[in-house]
Amino acid sequence: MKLAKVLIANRGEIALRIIRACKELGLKTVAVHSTADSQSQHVRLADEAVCVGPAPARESYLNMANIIAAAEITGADAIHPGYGFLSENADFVEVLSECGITFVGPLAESITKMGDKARARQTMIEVGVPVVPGSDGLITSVEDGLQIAKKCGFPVMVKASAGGGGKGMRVISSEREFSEQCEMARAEALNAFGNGDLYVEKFVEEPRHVEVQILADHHGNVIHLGERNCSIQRRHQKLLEEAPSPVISNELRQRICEAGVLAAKAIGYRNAGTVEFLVDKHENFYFMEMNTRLQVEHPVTEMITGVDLVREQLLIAQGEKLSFSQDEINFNGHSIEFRINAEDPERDFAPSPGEVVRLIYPGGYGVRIDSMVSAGDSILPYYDSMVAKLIVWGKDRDDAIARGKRALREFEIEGIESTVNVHDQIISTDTFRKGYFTTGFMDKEFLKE
Amino acid sequence: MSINLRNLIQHFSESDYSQFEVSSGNQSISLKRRQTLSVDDLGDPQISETEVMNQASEKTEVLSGIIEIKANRVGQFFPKVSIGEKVSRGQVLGYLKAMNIMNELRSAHVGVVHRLVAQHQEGVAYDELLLELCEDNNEIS
Repeated sequence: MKLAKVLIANRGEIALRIIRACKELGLKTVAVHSTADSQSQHVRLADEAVCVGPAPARESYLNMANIIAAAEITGADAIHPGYGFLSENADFVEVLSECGITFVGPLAESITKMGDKARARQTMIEVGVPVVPGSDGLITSVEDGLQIAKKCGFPVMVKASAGGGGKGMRVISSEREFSEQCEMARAEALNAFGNGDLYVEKFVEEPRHVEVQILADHHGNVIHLGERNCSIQRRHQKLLEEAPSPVISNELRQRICEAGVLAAKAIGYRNAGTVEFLVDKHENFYFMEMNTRLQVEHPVTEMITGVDLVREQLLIAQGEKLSFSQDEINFNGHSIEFRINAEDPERDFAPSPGEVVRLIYPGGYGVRIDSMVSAGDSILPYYDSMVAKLIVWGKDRDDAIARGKRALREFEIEGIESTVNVHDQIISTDTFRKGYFTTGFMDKEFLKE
Repeated sequence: MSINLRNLIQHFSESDYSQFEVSSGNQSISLKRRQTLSVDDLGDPQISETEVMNQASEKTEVLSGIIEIKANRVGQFFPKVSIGEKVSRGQVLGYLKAMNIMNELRSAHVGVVHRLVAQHQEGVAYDELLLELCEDNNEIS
């Protein structure tokens, strides 16, 4: 079933990214937009555009009825959700199926299976994908907790089931201190949340976020496109991503990627998806979750494999077989993505919406900009604060870092605060250059004071 | 065949039938409900909560006595009023069909239909101009 016209249920750079891939495949495009986005570039570049609601996302980009109606009145036969908004909404996928509209993504069932964290964990255990060892649910007593801790191996983490903000949480490094620390965590949880229930899991030492890009067609073919390292985060928001992941052995890389394929196969996954793992200092790795959609950071994988992931998503959605096998994927060089956000690093990264009065993007060999913002445009307060993704490629990691530094210094933006300089500082640290850093990097290196 | 046509149409319009045919000898009468009027056929559960235009009053602009009625949702427009028709507050101006559901569009104003901008069965976006009313000083609500 060939697609003819694709509606892009998103905004910003990803809407533009998808429109470009559709145009290259000869597919007609329909943009949807809120009243606030009527002058946006994705609206101008699409063949047709439909306003689907007022500025707040819940009334426009999350308005399923209006988005489906937009597909109906324009005769779009497929919807690409991009990332965020409706991309992991199983109900949306089901309604589309009932309306006879192709969803460019996985089956609703896969989204549901991976959205339920406990169920996903159980599925991974069943197929042999490693998960963070721990109690399956609450511990019944201190003694019960201790037995589980011994089985997992110290250090372990005791967490309050009602927890948050670190309360009722303890890292316990030996059997000797377990009882005392466990009781303290229980008392703290009871005091803070009125609920002293605890569970135990292995403490992942020096965690690094490594994720595997998956592509799967409707004919049972599942391949990986290598891994990405996304450990540079602030409050669980990724800031900078790179591929391949530095300082992991080829043997570990191979095992993680195979585990990613296994995870996707376990749920009969289709289309593009990402399996996220935590890697500890002993090179153990554990399944965290699967993102059943395209990722913000997908370009770094494209840069080192030469595979256009959005194009592949569209081809898969129209039922085509993957045009390459695992052996035909060649990895070449190194790529880094810098998320340039309208945020003020001096004010704890508070959003900095407003008009971009001056904007000059870097260019040259090995530099890619994915953005929808031009000088004179405004960063709206209703949506995420991304201005652009600056992606660089180099023949190796040092080359990519040097190019990244050069490109960041060419990046001129005025009118709003941005994270450009923060990225320059990140890649200038010794820790980053050496490549061994954990998800605690930003706290340790930057937010010390 | 001796049939009171006016009574037949009256009964048909009040019934659940979408089509009715009767023939006798060489005479036959066929009544068919027009799609714009068929919303009743859908039954209450399928009709979404009535959306009254005053919800969209901020989008209703009054310029020199002209009231602009804009779409409060995306859909295919089925007007139910014609030019020159007097409209009372709460009157159904038309339907916006989406996902096989006819959504009523009721007037928050009193006026006279001045211009039908969106065509019958035309696909319209949110906030798109559907029709214009002239303010009517002799309110009929």
